[in-house]
Amino acid sequence: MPNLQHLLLFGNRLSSSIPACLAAGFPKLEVLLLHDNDLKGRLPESWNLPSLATICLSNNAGLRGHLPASFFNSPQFSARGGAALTTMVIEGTGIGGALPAGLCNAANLATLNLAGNRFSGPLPACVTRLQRLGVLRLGSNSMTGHSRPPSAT
Amino acid sequence: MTSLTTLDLSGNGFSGTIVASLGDISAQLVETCLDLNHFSCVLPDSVLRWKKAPGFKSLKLLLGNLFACPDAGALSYSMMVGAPGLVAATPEEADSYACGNADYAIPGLAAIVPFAVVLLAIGRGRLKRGAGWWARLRAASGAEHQVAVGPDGQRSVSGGTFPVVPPAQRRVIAHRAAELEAAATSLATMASSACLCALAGATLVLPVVLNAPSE
Repeated sequence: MPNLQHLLLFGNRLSSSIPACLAAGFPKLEVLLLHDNDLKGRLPESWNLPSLATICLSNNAGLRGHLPASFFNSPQFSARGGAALTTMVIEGTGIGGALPAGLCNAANLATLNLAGNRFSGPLPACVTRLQRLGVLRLGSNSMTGHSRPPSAT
Repeated sequence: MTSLTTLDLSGNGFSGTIVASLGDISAQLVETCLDLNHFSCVLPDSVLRWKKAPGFKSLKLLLGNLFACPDAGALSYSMMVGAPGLVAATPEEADSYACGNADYAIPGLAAIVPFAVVLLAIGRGRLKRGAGWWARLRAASGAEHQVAVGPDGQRSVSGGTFPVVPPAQRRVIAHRAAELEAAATSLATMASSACLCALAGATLVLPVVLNAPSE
């Protein structure tokens, strides 16, 4: 389905892992909504969705592992300067680990909601360069970091 | 992040100070949640003079952090109530905020207490194992009919093997074993009591220190 633009499967009882083929092979996919299911396992390691603008994986408590760095380093960002992705909502899953620094490649990211997961480590400093970021939700994770006044750094 | 309208970092482990630049963009922040972290030190004036954004929803900052009290004569937390409101629902609540200091030190107790409990539990287990070994030795000295002599001259008692000990020495060992057993039991009881007291203290005191509502 090379012309698929929207894949909306939210609010079902999907209980498998996200297949690797879903993370690639859809050059025109713009919206991927898989929230409110029973998805399990790790996210695919290799992502190549050059047109993806919105992704929502919320409320899939069985999702584990980390946010793959390839998601932000794949051709969808390098070829188009990260122009496509504007909304990423992954709330209430078991995904954790450090936030990949490649996150800042998403120059047009407007909403980043990763609340209620298991993310740890610091918030990448480059996030402050995301000029279009309007909503940043990272509550209820295990993130750390020490902020100092500019004069103390 | 010139477009930022919602900033929610609540319920993490961020530490350090709240930087003045947060207050500088207050006029655009509709929702700001930085509560339940490890922030400390004095809030900058730009935050204390929070500018209410159009459509303002909330500013959660004091709860679960440990900010120092504003200097006398300077802005106070209670001054912020009602304007944009700095979390506190009433002036009384703001006035009763448990100010901290430059270091977020006291909540470290929350990490130390469970660690101490684990250590004491391990220590108690080892003491009990040691007491049990001595008790078996004492039983061996006091109940000859339970002792079987092996072909190599060793005596086995209840699955264990002990060297042959003269009766007089056995009585001394038995006496010391009884003393050790009593001491171990007493120490274990004291350790348990100390753990319970520490936990009870932490449960009662930490919510107050953290300025969290206790239910």
